[in-house]
Amino acid sequence: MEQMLKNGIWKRKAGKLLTYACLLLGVYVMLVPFIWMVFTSFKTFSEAMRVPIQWLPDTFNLQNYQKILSMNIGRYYKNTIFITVFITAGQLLIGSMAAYAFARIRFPFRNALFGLLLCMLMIPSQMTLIPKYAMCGRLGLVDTLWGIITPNMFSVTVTFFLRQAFLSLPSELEDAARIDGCSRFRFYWEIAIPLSKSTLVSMGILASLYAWNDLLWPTIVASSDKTRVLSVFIAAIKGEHNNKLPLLMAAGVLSVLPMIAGFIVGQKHFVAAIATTGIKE
Amino acid sequence: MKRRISLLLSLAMLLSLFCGCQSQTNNQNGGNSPDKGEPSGSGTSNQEQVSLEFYIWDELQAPATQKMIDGFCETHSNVTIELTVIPFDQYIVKMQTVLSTGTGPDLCWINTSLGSQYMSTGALENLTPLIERDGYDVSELNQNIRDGYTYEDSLYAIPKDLDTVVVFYNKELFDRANVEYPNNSWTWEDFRETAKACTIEGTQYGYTNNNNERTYYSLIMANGGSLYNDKHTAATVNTDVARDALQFLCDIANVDHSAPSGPEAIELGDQTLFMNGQAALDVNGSWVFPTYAESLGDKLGVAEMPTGTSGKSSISHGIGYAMPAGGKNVDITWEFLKYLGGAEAQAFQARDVIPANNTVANLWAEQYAEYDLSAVISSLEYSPILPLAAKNAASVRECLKAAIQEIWLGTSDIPSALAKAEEAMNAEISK
Amino acid sequence: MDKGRPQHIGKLRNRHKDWIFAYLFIAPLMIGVTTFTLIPIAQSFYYSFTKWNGVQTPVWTGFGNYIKLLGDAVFRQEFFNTFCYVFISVPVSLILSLIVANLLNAKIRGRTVFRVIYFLPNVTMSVVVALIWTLMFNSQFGVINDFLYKLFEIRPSWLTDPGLIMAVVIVVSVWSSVGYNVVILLAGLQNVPQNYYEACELDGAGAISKFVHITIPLVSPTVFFLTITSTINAFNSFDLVFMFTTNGAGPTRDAIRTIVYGIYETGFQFFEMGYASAKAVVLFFIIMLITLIQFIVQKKWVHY
Repeated sequence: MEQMLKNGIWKRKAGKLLTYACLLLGVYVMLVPFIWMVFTSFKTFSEAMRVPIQWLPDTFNLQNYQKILSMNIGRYYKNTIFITVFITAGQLLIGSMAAYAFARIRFPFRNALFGLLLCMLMIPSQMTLIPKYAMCGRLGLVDTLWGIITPNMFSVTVTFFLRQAFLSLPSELEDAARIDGCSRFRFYWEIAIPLSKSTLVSMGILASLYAWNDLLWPTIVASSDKTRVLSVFIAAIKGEHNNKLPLLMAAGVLSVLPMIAGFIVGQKHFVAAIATTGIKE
Repeated sequence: MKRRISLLLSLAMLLSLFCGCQSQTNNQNGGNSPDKGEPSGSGTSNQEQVSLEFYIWDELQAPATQKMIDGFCETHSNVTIELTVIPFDQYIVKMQTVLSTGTGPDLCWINTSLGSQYMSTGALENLTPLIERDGYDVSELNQNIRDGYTYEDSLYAIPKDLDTVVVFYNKELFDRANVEYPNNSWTWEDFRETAKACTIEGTQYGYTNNNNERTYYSLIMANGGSLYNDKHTAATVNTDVARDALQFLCDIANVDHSAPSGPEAIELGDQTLFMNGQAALDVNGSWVFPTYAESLGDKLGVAEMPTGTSGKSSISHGIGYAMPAGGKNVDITWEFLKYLGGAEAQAFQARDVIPANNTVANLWAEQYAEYDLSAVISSLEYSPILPLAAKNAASVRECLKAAIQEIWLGTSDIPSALAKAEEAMNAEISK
Repeated sequence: MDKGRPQHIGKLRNRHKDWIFAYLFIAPLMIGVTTFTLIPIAQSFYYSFTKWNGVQTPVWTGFGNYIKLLGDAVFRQEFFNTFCYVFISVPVSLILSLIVANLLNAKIRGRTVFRVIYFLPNVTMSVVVALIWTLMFNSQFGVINDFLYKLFEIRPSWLTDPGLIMAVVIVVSVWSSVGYNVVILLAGLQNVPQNYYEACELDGAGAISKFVHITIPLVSPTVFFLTITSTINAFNSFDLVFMFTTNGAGPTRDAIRTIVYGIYETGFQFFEMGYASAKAVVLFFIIMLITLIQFIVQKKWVHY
């Protein structure tokens, strides 16, 4: 009996050890590329190309960072933050309004319209590039930051997830509120939204990641220096300093840092949110 | 659940088609109206405030370009010119997008590959009538580059700069291997021997083996071959000359081992090895000179291309300033174009590139007085413009590049790769 | 009973008010989607029936482009590559994510840290991701070949060898998608009641049997959702493939050219917008078909 118990404990301990081993292996695979990027960003050109490879730079020189920072990068940061904020806010506001209607109100063509929206998810973005640009031209949005923002404010994914969140609110809640004379709008704004805070946060994270990292559309619609965003900047210096890997890595580090910081802060809500969403009917 | 969703999807599809048709018509009406509205707003008399848009792709040349803009605006106070730098990878996409929606810039850089597409489709303003109207003298501008932007006897772009292919060498590595520096009368055989002599196993390569297309173009032409027939309406790459030339280049790496293998060279890109001081010789465009000078300093030497069986040959190319057709400010843009072709504007870029205006072309070499750049200047005499197919130049060029890559990677032998390439190229041309 | 009628009428009136309210609330989204997606799509449909170089007026050619697609060897290659990419990267990524999510779901220390680390690639721009990995896979001074060389004395040319480059693209895409899937799966797992596992343990089931008999069936709706979305994303992914095609033309590029890359190349590099639109339309229908099939098949394995 005692033997069996001991065995059990051992088994459990071994299992836990194995779990950690697997997870740490995964962490290694996930992190090594980033670590390599950071180290490379401090190297000189020839250090980066040494064979056999050398992990640490001889000295941590800041040359590459100085060069990147001397490149007007402040403005690119500002532009990127600007579009990220507005795209995220737009997606959440517009998405949550539609999601509320789709989730909690019965109206004609509701399912047809929602199905139509889901179809939009399947469209390759290159397919719409030129007509979308033409549309922005007609609306006078070309070469403005609003040209990047406006077409990106309408997200079907965000709507989909928020609809799930609103569906999970108990219907008694709304009935009770309605009997107390609470209008649809007040219910949406003062009850549904606060109750779905974590879904909103997680969708906000996804939306801002998308806005921050998107490359193709910003290059097409607003590529002049005054409206340039970070992703376009990275692509541009990649074009010009194709082989200066350390310099490119420094730019990479600088572009990734804010998002990593943001994610670490917001990640708590992230999982909680998706947990409550529940991808169910 | 399943049935409901599939029903939904099919319904949505139908709906999207329906909506599509409707909006299509709306949209075309909408598309026309701004054009109709335009005439009233056009008419650029000199007094009116005019704003021009100008696209370029090289960040490094933005400061010089800005100087040109400032120089022009000094005498044209009613004009503002907005410069937009678009990374080259995205430049073509952007151009395609703006041209197809009729929202092109007033002025843009083009290379000959883009040019050949745009000239034949009427995307660019024909400059010849304007040149004739104003009696503008284009003879100052490099003839080869003008050839590159001439279509059916009309000029479509003002040459901006020019470049040519030369041999770069690393003096330190030559000294280390105890080899004499190349002299300008060397042959391709000498080149191969020099590369061999400069190779020190495990330390340095003789030659970079870079996969720049202009290297083998030059070699083929130096040996009396060509890539296209006279009118560029058919490819002529499946010839003994071309086969021998490529075999020669492959042998430097695969037989002599004086250069990295094909796959390695492709991966490194065409400048890395030389910049890092690991190869003694490199064949490359004069445009890399500033970069090489920055990383190698006084170790850098420049030599003329070696002589082939029918003399010396190199390839030149140059960017052009072009005006997309249908712009609203043709006259003022033309004024600016004339300025850009003139000596004053061309001189501003002398630190970055060789100006295409013959009167100031020598300024480039003067900027780098500490180097002997005579090889570049004399190379211009035997550098015809980069050959391109008369039709579908971009895709035809890709066919040849694909074949060369197969040869470099060793996935195909030279005769069959070239035979396949010629067939594919001709198929593209006749599309 | 006598109250019935007025209430009914009231309800009806209320319902109409609700309808107006609902339409008002979905209006911004619907207008936006119509302007920036539906109309552009309709235009692309139209272009797919024309020959258009993007500069001159489109010329109507009927089904010409579609007929040309049938006989186009390049398109066949793109088609094959796309399926190869999607049907390897999506399942591999999902299986790995399931394993990781399952491990993370146990009561272990540092869950948050693990979660953040696994999610990092999603936070990174695709340009940067591609840059990092071209550096990692470099045959001479890359970390991976350094490792392989020490162990087996080999230095494969990952980035230029046509036989290897697709593997590189798939590895990178799996690397960058695992984290997102894990987060979503973890959320699904949290809805699984802990006592299911306890009951199973009492029956003497091991970790693997628990995973197969409890975890997988219970998260199957989440897995289904992820399958749908990642398949769609994989079909449409462009940046990654694009970044790796810069290593030269010919066989290397042909080995990874996907339909989306083909759309880009035909339309924007070779100036055949009409033909590119036809490719896009075909891709759209392929995705739709695959999605439909997934919805049909799900009955067999998804447990709600």
